Amino acid sequence: MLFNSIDFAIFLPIVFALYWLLKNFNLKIQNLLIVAASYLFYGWWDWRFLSLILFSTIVDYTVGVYLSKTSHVGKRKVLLWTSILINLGFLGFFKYYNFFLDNFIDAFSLFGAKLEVGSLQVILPVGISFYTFQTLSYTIDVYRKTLKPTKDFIAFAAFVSFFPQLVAGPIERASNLLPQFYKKREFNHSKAVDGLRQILWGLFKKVVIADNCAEYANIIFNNSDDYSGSTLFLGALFFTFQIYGDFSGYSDIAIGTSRLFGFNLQQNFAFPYFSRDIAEFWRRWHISLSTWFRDYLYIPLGGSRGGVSMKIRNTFIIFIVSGFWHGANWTFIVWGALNAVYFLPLMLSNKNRQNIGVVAQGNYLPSINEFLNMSLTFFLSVIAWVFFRAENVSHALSYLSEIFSLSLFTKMEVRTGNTLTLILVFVIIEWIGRESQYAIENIGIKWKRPFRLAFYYALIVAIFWFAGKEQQFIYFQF
Amino acid sequence: MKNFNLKTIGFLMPVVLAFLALEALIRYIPNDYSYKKNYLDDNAKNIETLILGSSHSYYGINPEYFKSTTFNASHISQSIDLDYKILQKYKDDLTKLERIVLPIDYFTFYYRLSTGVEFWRGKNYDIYYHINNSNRITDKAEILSIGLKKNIKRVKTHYLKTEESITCSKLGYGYIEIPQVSLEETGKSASLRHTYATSIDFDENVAMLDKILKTAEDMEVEVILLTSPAYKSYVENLNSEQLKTTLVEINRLVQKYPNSRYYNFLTDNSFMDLDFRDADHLNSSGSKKLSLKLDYIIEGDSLN
Repeated sequence: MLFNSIDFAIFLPIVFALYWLLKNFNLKIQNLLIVAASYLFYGWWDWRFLSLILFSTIVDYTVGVYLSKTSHVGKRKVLLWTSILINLGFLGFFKYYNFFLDNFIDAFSLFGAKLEVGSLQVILPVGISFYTFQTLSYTIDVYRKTLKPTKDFIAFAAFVSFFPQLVAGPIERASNLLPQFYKKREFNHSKAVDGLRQILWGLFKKVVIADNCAEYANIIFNNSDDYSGSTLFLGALFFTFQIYGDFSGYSDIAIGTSRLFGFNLQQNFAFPYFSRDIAEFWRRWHISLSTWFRDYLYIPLGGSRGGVSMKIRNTFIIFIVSGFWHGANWTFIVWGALNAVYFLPLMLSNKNRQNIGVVAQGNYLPSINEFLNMSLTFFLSVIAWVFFRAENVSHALSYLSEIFSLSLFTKMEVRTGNTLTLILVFVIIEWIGRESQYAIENIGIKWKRPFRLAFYYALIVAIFWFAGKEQQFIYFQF
Repeated sequence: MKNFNLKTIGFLMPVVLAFLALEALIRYIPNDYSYKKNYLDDNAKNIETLILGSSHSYYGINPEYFKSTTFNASHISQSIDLDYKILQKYKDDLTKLERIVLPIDYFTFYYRLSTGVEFWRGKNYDIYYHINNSNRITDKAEILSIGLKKNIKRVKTHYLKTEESITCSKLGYGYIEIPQVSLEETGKSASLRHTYATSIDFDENVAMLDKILKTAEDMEVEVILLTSPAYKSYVENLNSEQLKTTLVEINRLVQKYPNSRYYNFLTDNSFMDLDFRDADHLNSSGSKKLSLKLDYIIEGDSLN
């Protein structure tokens, strides 16, 4: 079920009403409703893959229970690796099998050997990368004894399948989300209103910004041979806003929906395009994934401790694995590696934590220095996104070589209508709201009611004005 | 909680009311679907030749050139399951029906409106034909299936500019005239668009043609199957396997049902460059040619 669909617009109020009607009953029943609603939400897309979620849930719950019963180091390791292998096994099979097979065949063909192995016609289960990482975080935390294993299977099933963030995150830590299923939730009016506001903003980002940008990005990327450097740069720019609007919009709707049900999810995006360097960008982009890799991969590898070669190795590993997490294509690996190249000079010169706070905090405008740094960081991310969007690495390279040619200074061949204006308005709103959790969290709060309502109605009209294109959320495929 | 619910409902009420008003306004705008549905409601009993199919027959077969009483019930992007549903809906009223003309083109067995990129057209069958096209909620209302921007434009065009919103002739032929577009380019793009690596709908679509032929047999009606003419740039870029599979299935079913005949116009040389509006659609001169050929077939005259 898509958040920007009528199906969800009907599903949400029904589940919301039932959920709060049940609040005076047993907490387990309320959690059971969440599980049922989540399975319905997921099964709406393809019910067959519900078995995968259920299986993952049973495996990690069981592993957690057994981990609590033994202190034997060897047994605990076996249990941990059972969970890791099963979860990553599913992920590897559905997501990476054909990639490895194709590359294996290509590698053999270099030596003159011809392998005849058929690839698999498998559908990638929506959200598998997200819920796999979420359940893994539970097992690893229990193994590390930083989290008590749950004995409440329903609460655990609700944690794994919680529908607002099941298919595209934020990837919640068990330590944050799971305890929320143990406690009785009380309806909070201001929290619910805030949730609705965040849903509204998320829909605006998705339908108005991302889907509009997608139209042009698709045309330009799909026909890149026909266009000059200037148009290709515009295409990359459109994709830059498409992916941000799409993914952060989804996260906003997920977080907002969770608030309606009395849950707090972590912030997943913190205005990344206003970052002053790439290190700051990665602290603000897909925060739940970046921190997951930091805690469960980077730090166990040694993090930034050790010599220079260790730092370089770990940085490349985390960025390349992060890139590969997005998809079984060399483009994602190159995208990750390119970000590592961007990041390394900052880390090696110990400047990777120089921009921690909000840019130009308390000011209307950034300083010239901040503006230049933001522009450079933004430009670097635009270039990196070309690899993310391209069909393959050679497509990305030819795309970039055309951008960095003299045709960059020719007239653009694509008419973009009002989309650039929309992007400009969007960037201004984001800038105004950059000190909040999401852009419109505090915009209009102190305005007179008619103005505030007019602002919200304007957003609603804009959403419906541009609705109908219904592009799939990009991150569903990851 | 109660306060929240009331405030939310109060906030959304103007939006809901505005959309309901818009839905009503749009539904009152006549369109091809409402026109053809009303025509069939009123005149099904007089129709002798019924044309079904997609844009290839909508733009390609003009009932004016038929000697029998003919109506073109095709629509743009209409897939074979919808041909069948229309036939089912009117089969009891089509008391004088002698034949059905049904194009089976390169994509017919591989395509369904409900799963294709033109899925938004599905609402027309639910809303205007009262045929259950899909269980998708968006197919049940105009405002849910098309963006507000386009719907406002439709309302303005009809109510303020009073422009005609029906694009077919009285007999259902798509008479809209637009200048010819590049035959070479559209040949490549259309063939690519109509080529499917796999199709989950193939078996069901073949079964659907079987059902149409069976229904026609039960009605004692002849079915003339045809593959529409196309420009060479389209034909040259077709996937030979997909085309071959299509032809095999057509021939199998034609042998199974004696009440059916098949004519392949795909590479018919009598259709010249000037007969096409794009590589896979005829213009008025091309459609006249095809319609006369079909009429000759129907009337039993020999083809030249």
